[in-house]
This record gives sequence, C-alpha cells and structure tokens, in this order.
Amino acid sequence: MTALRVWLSRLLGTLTGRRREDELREELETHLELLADEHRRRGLSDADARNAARRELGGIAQTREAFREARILPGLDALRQDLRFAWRALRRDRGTTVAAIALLTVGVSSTVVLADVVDRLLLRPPTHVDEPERVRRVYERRLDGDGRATLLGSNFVTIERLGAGISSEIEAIAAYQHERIGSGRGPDASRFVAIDFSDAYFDVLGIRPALGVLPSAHRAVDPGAVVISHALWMQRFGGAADVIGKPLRLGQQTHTIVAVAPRDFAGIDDDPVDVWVPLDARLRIEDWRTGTHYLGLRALVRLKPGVQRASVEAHASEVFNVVQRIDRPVGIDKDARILFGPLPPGQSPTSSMETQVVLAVAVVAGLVLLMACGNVANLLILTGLRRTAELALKAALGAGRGRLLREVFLQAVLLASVSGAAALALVVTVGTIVRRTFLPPTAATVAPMDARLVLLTVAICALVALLLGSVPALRLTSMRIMVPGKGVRATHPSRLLDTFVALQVALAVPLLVGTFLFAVSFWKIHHVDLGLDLGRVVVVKADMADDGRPTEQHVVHRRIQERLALLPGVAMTAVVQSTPMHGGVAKVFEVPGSARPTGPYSLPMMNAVDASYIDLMGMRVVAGRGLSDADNRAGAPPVVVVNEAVAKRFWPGASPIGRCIVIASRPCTQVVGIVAKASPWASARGGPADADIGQMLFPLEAFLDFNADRTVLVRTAGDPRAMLSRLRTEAQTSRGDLPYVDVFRLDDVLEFELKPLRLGWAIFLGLSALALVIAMAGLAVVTAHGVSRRTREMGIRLVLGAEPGDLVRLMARRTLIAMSIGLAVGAVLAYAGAGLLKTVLFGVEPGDPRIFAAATAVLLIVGGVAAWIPARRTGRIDPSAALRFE
Amino acid sequence: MTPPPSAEVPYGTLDLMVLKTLASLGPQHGYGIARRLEQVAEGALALNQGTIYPALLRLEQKGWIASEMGTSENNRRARFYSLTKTGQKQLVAETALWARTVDMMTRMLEPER
Repeated sequence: MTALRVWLSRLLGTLTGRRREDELREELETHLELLADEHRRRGLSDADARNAARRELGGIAQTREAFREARILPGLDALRQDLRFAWRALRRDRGTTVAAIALLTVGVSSTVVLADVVDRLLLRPPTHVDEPERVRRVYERRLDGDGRATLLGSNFVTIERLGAGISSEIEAIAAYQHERIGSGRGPDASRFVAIDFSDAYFDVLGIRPALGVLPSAHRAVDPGAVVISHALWMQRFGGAADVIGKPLRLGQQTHTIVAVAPRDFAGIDDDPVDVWVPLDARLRIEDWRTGTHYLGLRALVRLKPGVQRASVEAHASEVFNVVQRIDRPVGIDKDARILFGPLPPGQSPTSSMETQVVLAVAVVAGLVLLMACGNVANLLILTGLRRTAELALKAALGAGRGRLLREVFLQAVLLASVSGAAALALVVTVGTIVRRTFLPPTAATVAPMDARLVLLTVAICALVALLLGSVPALRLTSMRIMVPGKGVRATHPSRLLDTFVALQVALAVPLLVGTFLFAVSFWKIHHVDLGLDLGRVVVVKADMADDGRPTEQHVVHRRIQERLALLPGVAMTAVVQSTPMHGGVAKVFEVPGSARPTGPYSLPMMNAVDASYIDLMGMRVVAGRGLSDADNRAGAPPVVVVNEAVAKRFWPGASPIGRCIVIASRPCTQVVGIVAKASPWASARGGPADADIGQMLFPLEAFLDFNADRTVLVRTAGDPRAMLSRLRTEAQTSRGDLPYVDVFRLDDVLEFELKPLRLGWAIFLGLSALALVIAMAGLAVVTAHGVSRRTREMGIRLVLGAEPGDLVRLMARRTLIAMSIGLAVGAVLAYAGAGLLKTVLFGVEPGDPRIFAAATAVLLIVGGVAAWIPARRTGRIDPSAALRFE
Repeated sequence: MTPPPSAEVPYGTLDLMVLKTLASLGPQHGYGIARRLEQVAEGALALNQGTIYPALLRLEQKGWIASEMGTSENNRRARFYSLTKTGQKQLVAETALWARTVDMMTRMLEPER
C-alpha cells in the first residue's frame, strides 16, 4: 500500500513540474536565515554567522539534488528528456516532419477506416444480443443445386419440427420474416420496417428491453402485441415512460406496445427495424402454423453452451430431410444440408460480392499504409544522414548506442502518435461517409467512434512506429563511430533507398491494376444490353390489399397516375399489374399447332400493362408493333406483345406475328409484336436467365385480371432522385384516404449487383490516386537527394565536357531502374491478387494483359516525371559553383 | 573534558526521530525540526541539516506526515510539517520495534557472566 502511494506521488512529482523545488529553495533560505540569526544571537559577527549557518546546513546544491531524486521517478524523467530531444529533432527538420506526418496520417486513416468497415461488416455481431456466438442463422444448401447456401426459407411446421428434432442441442428456435407495414391513411400515413416473429424470437436473441417485457415462448404471446424500436419510441412518443400499453396502428390492426427494444438495437439485418410484430397478427394465411405451402419464413437458433456447430449441423440436416419428406409439397423434397451461419451478415455462408470487395479494399489500404511507411522511412534515413555529425558528437560525449537507439525510436513513436491523433480525427469525419456508403444502415449508424476503433488506431500506429523506428535503428547499429570530429562513418544507404523506391512502385501496381479492372467492369456492366432502360423509372405503389380494400386497387392507381402525369418533369406514366422485376404471374396457355415446351423457365411471366409501358421501360420493338391505346380498351380485340425468348421458344424458326395463343378461354389472342431481350427478371449481369425468361405483355384494360395488384410507373425527364419526394407527396395526396404510398426507383433492384463494383471502383480509384502521389513523392525525394549528393561530381563531368542532357538522363536512370524492378515485382503481386476478384469483376479477365500494360504505363509516366523534375536540376548546374559545393 | 565524538545518524533512525519530534512539538518547519534534533542529541549527532529535507519529502510521500506552506517567526515563507494519523500509528509501531531492537542489542552486548 505504502509502496504504491510512494510510487504514485513520485509519478505525480515527475509530471507536475517544479513548483515544489522552487518552494524548497525558499525553505532552505528561511532555514539559513534562522540559523544565522541564532548564531548572531550567540554573538558572532554577521559574516561569521552566515558562514557558520552555511556550514551547518551543508551543500545546498547536494540537498536540492537529493530532494529532486526523491521527488521523481528517475526512468520516467529520462524518458521525458529523450522525448524532448526527439521532438526538437523533428522540429528542426520541419519540412520532413510535416511531410512524414501527412503521409502517415493518410496511410493510417485509410487503413483504420477500411479495417473498421471490415470489422463492422464481418466481425461484429449486432449489439445487445446475449452471447451472440451461440445465435445462428439457419441456411440450407440444396444438394441438387449449384452448391450455394441460401437462407432457409420454409414453413412454420418444418422449422418447429426441425427445432424439436435437435432440442437436445439448442435452447430455442424461432421463425421470422421481414415486412414493410403501412400505418394510417391520408397525408400522415407512414410505413414501418417490421420483423414478424414467432414466440421464441426474443428468447433466441436474448436481448433485454429498454422498457416493458419482451414476448417470450415461456408466456402466451398476445397476437396484438408489438415491440417498438428505441428510435421509434423517441421519434413518435418522445421517449415517454408511459408508452407501454399505448396503441400503435399497423395496417388494419391496432396493436398494443408491450416493450421498447434497447437503444442501438436495430435488428440483426441490414434494414433498421422499427417494429416487431407476432407472426400471428401478420400472416393472413389461416393455417400458417400447420400448413406447408407458405415458404417465406426464416429461422434462428440459439445453441446450447458447448455444442459443436459441425455435429449439430449434421444432426439438423438429418432431421430436416426427414421432416421435409413429410411436410413439403411434392417435387422439391430433394435432400439438403442445413448450415448454422454466424450472426454478422457479412460472414454468412452466402458470402456476398460486397464482402469480397471490402476485403480486397482493406488489403489494399494496408498496401497504401506500407507505401506511406516506406516513404517516411526514406525521409527519416535522409534526415538521419544530415545528422551523422550530431550523432557522432553525442556518441563522443558518452551517449551509449542504446540511448541513441531510444532517441531514434522515440522519433518514430512521436511521428506515429501525432499522425494517429490526426488520423483519428479524419476517421471520425471522413470515415462516417465511407461507412455510410459501404455498410448496411444498421451497422453504419451504431456508435461511429468507440473503444474498438481507438484501439485499432493505436495498434496500427504502434505497428507503424515499429516499422519506422527499425529502419534507421538498423542503420544506426551498423554505423561505426570513429574518432570524434571525423564524424560517423557509415556506408551511404543508396541501396536501401533504391529498395524503398522499388517497393513503393511494386505496391502501387496492384492498386492501379485493381482500379482499371473495376473501371472496366463498371463500364461494361452499364453497357450490358438488357433491352430495358431502367435508369429513370420510378415505382409508385399503394398497397390497398393490406389496407383491406383490394377491390379499389385499380381505381386508386389510375387516380395516382392521372395526378402524376400532370407534374412537370414526368415524361411518361403507366399503370401495370405486377411491378416489373418484383415477381408476377405465370399461367398455362396453348399455342395451337405447337407442343408445350418443358424444362426450366418454360412458362413466361405475364403482365398486363398500359400501352405506354413498352416505351416507358425502354423496350425496343424488333418486329410488328407495340401496344396501342386502341388495344387498351374494354372490348378491343385481344392482343399480346412477347419478348424474343417467347418467340424463340414457342415459334422456333418462324415469325409469331399474327399467330394466336389461347389463354383463359379466349379463342385467339393475337401476337402483334416482339420486343428485344427484356427479361422480366433482369439481372445487371445479363447471364443465362436474361436470355431464357419469356415475358408476355397484355393490354391492361382490355384483358384479364391475373390478379388485383396495381402499380403506377413513372418515367422522369431528369434525374429521378430529385423527384422522389415530390412524387410521393403528390401520389399520397391524390386521394385523402390512401394508405402509405411507396415510391422507389426501379433500378434499385439492380443495385445489389452494381454496388460492389461501384464501391470497388470508387475506393480503388481513391486509394490509387493516393498511392500515386505517395510513390511520386518518394521517387522525387530520392532522386533529388541523389542530385544534391552528386553535385560536385556532376560539376566535374560538365567541366570535362559532358552534355547537360546526358547528366539529366544519368541522374534519372538510377531511379528508373529501381522503378522497373518494382514494376516487375508489382505485376506478379497484382496477378496473384487479381484472381481473388474474379467473381466480382464483369466482362474482364483478372489477368488481362492490356490492363497490366495500362497500369505499368501510367506508373512509368508518373514515375518518369517524378524522377525527371529533380534530375533536371543537374543540367542547370554551374560547374564553378559545383566545384566549390560541399 | 572533550565532548564524545559525534556520530553519523544511524541508518533508518532519522525518520523515527522526525516523527517523534513532530509528535512532541506539533507542526514544525525544517529548521525547527533540525534544531530539536540537535538539542536532544546534545552535540552527539553530526547532522548535515540539509539532509532532513529529502527525508521529510519521503515521509510525506509515504503519507506519514503532511505539509503546507506558511510564514516562519522571522516572517519568511517556510513549509510546516505535521504528523498524520497514519504517521502516529507508524510512530507507535516504530518505537516498539526500536525498543525491541535496543533491548536485543543490549543483551547481546552485555559482558558474559
């Protein structure tokens, strides 16, 4: 106890400066005076009294030294001194220091931001979940399929029986599904992101509510209950404590709030959840608990402690396959393997392209950091060269090698810490933007700055300090310290410098190759001909069925369409039955004189649309005509427009124009036109699905109701993003009694395919630009150093008749040779790395030689310029000045 | 008669002497403590008076004494030291220890019978 106390007060003494020592001086003076007074009283003369006092008190300097030693922690004090030295050294080379800090800040912050993204996407489970590693998402991998795992989509019976079969290994199993639920009518209508849950859902997650009691399988769950998110509680109810028991309208039902979810818990998936509702209240299927035809439910389990995932997976697969043979409809009872994937979405067995891109980008950010470190190490070596005399002097005065090493390392630590602090500031500001673009909303919004992030930064800075310190430290230990005054003799580190140049170039190659690969992919994917032009199409939809008025669908959407058609900036409008790209209807029909084709995708998707739909969607009529307004009237002769896939499949080798199909008891529906491609399930990547899936378009008013659904489509004249909220307000208020009207861009459905490429491209581009600047700076600095070191030699060469142009080439050559070696090494690195991006890229081979040639060319040009600019100085050397140059 | 030769302060005893001084005289500045030590020792102690300051600091770091700046009798600034509660306990403990040590040493050094 006492020892700790002493240590603490000494620590305090070291840190809190010298007031106590100043006071000691006063104390000692007082002491001296009092002693002298005493002697005077005894009759000594003034001078003698003072002398005697001094004698008795002893050496004041020694006392103060002893006092100081007792006051502080000696090791810490020496450290403080060394830090001050290191700081002074850094301040002396202010230019170098600023450059080094800037380089490191950029390197550290980009690495931290991207490592943080990886952490949040891949490693971090959702907040508040109790022992999250025991909570598992249930996936299935069909053994007859393409080997990919998908989230289990099943019925409640199967999930229940699966749970019962493995009840000795799991604590609970829960079923759930996602939904968006409208609430209220008219201008104030809103919409909630909902999870519909089975009784055990919260038992599996093990979260604690901020307020109220969460539903649990251990109690009867009231179908009228609802759990609201913390955010919704704050927005809607102002965080009122009496919210429990209050009503909340969802669709046609009024629910009672039973609990508020904890703060920062926004569900376990990408979309932040507003409300959790019992499945009972939402599934409009009578027998959802016992029936087998609804396959929309997902499952979550909580494993018992200590249960091995592999063994429970094997058991679960067995149970699942047995259960399936009983429960599932005939035809899809192929065996499957059940997988229990971890909770963080990025780690799912369905490892997405985005995950791959993020990993690639994080690795690349590490490369940029390495480049920055290499460059800073270069700078430190060069400043170190200028300091050889100083080091020699210190060594001569008795500073041990250890002390000198410590100073060098402290410099590195100082640089790393200052850059780390700056990086942290950048991480908070810039990082937020990166996180918003990269991460799903749930992960992006939670705690932008936390201990984990700070720890990450500190760890990376420590690594940087170690890297930075070891290079000059190694050089220092290899120096031979000579006779004082003659300086420290050390081999000139030109080879080391060249190595760093080569290294930087080598690291830049993969970056540039990656950038080009992503750029080409991005360009190509945007120029895939889908036979559609979706960029400016907006979907406007009011779910009247969920509002309990399915018969009003048509009237309501016509009304919305009329209203929106009047808006400036709206180029075209159409009412359709099924929202394109969102599923639809496929019905059996006959083609007189032709056998019904079999095999996958044999039934084309059917949609009933306004005549303007074909132009609105950017479809191209390649034969016959499109639909006309005359077709789109009740009583008009029935016609249909088909896409090429239908034409090829049902009338192979012949033109279908003017031919009949027989559908829904009408004798003949005439094919009047063919549109190019136009798959009803367009994928941004095209692919076999795009080529094979048929689509048939019938006029909406003239033809049959496949179902009662309706959607309004709008084509805007300009960027639709600017119009979304205007469109929504207009649509919502087109009648006073509408449920929430949903408005979104149609090409959002392609977004999941485009986003990884766009992100990869953007981040690779940004990092490459950084890398180029860093590499350029490194090359320029090294060349410039070479020029100034060899000024004298160049002067002699000039005097002896060398042409200035030759000298410039001579100076640039060395850098260029180092660069070429770097390029070769980098190309190998890039070739090895690019293969990892194979599945993400589109329309370009990772090893495409043209890409490598382009990347090399860019680096050669940039590097050449960087070497040439300082080398140019050689040509302007004045020989007489050069010979006097030291 | 020549005075007995003055001895160095035996190791470890200065702390005890300071504590005892503060216990009997109450708060004192450095000079007061040094004077008291010399009076008690009656010239038997060759105390370099400056050495009590690091000793005082160490005692303060241990929490046995406390100090604050004040004004001395000749109207100069000085630090006044006083015994803390812990210091009082420590004094009792150390006194007992000292007595036992002295007792033991006495028996050890007694002429053998």
